[in-house]
Amino acid sequence: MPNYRYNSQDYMRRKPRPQNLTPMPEACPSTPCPVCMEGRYDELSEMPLAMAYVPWQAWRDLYDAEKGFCRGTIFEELDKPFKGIGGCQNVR
Amino acid sequence: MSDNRPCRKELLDWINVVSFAVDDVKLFLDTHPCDKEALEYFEEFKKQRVQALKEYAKYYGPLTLDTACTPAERWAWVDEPWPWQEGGCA
Amino acid sequence: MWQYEKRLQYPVKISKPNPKIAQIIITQFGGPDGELAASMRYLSQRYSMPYKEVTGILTDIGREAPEMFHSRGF
Repeated sequence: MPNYRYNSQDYMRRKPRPQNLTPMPEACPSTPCPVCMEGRYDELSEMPLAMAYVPWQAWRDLYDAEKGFCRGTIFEELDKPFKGIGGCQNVR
Repeated sequence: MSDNRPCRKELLDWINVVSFAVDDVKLFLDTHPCDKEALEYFEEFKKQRVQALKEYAKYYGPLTLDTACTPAERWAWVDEPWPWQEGGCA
Repeated sequence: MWQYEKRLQYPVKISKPNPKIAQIIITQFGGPDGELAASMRYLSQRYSMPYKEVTGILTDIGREAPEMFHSRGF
């Protein structure tokens, strides 16, 4: 699967990214492979295929009110700052 | 000006903080309407918010119509600054 | 029914006005896939939503967007 990078001129993703800009590697260059899942731990590996999942949120790991206000969420698990590096697959 | 008049900026910051906590837990409660801990959290911060809004209205004018003090000599709601103005609640 | 509060949800202090950034923000807010359009969709979809929890969510998220009306960045 091509590694889609966030392109600031195409931020609405209306134009499909030209396939030839990111050629698929012939063999995985390294393990864990930076492009596909080869060699990478996949915590969803036991889940049934071909379905989309949204895990159910639990009441836990709350910030103090002041910190929550600064971070934009009172839930630590939802504190996901934007890093501007685009769509990443299971990158930790 | 009485001595125990709270600092306007600090009080407003506090109102922002507790109001945001209420806003965020409200979203959680929409999908978890029976969660006891979330309900308690909501109660607590709602109480703090109501108290802070009342106090702000007492010294600096109402932020909501519910806290507009009546009877009063004048209708303070129309007072400036509004939030988008210089010195407003920004 | 809407209640108005005479404050911003998060304080804004513009130290250096930047028209280019303001332009970007305006498109994110009011543009074709902007927040305001999304907000209107959420608020409209409530009426046919079969699940009351989702009606609540659509209401609560839908009303967050008008907060942005206030921003002095415009």
